[in-house]
Amino acid sequence: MNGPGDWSWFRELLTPLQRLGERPCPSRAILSMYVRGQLRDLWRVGAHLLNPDDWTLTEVSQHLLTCPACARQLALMRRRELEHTSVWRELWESLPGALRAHFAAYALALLALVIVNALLVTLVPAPTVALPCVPVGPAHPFGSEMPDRDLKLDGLNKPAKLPQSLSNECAPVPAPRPPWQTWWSVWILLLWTPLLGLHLVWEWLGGTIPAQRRPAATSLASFVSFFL
Amino acid sequence: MEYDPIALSHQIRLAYAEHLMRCTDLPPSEMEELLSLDGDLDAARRWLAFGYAKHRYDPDHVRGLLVYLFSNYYPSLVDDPAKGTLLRRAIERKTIKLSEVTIEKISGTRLDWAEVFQLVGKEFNPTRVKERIVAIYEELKGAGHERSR
Repeated sequence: MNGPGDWSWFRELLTPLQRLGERPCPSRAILSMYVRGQLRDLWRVGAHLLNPDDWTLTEVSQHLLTCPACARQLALMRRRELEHTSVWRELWESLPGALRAHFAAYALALLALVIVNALLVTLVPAPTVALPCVPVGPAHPFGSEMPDRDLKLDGLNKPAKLPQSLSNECAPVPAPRPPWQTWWSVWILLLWTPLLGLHLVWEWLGGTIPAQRRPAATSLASFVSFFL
Repeated sequence: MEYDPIALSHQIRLAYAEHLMRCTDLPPSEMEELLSLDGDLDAARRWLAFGYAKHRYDPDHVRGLLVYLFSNYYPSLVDDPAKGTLLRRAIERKTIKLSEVTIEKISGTRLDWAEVFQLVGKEFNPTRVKERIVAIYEELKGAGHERSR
């Protein structure tokens, strides 16, 4: 090596590959898998394969370095991907990883909690209280005062007013729902949403500091410890 | 199907380089014979020097140097400007990892050192890494001479 900026020693290693063998080109599906990073990463070079769709990551990479037709096809796929990226996807991908994980956890947790909550509220019957039976007949002489219908029931804040038609029967009336049968998921939503907003601001403020001088206090762990 | 041993050896050496970048490489001691199938011991030693440097020093520094090398000095077969744009965007958003990189994905993209450091996740002194690799190569060359005597 002649000098620190000299790359000649290294560049001598990078002579372009020549196409080897008669293996047919990979299918479009294989190229899509290559772009998405879904191919197997095995150590295999120069193998004779029976299955034409059996490609490893390195094999496709090396084929693309030697086959202009496939390289052009891949270039076209990449150009399309660049042109058809939606605004929402752009926005989502531009978010820091910690914030994306937080958003995903928030959405999934709230969806699950709202479903559970809705099931509890709608499917589980509301608790009822059976009223004491009001005696009818000769015990109450004609013209005498009827017993007070404004009954004070255990667990009810207001006296229950019995309907006239039921006043002589033992009728169950709805009681206040226990906390787990109320819409408690709304409270979680009201608490969690501002936290998510604060995390967004936290990440945004951290992102304004250059990466080299960014303190550890801008991390997700410090955000969690700070707010919890 | 007849294979040209020189072309096959070259293919094996570039495959080794790619696996070095993704950290899926085999130990260099197991690669010595495979890398010199065509008898080109010098080329084999150069690539082995990268492998030994990964074991002796910080492997990410060697991986980063390889990324810079292939990105800037390995020619792209066709004009593919979207490749560089997508790669830079992925590096910026940290949606690409070194374990997903191939020579094709980075060739001709002309990444600068700041982008390579971001992809690797750490900064290093490239000159020192280069010097260490060349020093290991000289060691291997010296050991080869001793063996052949």
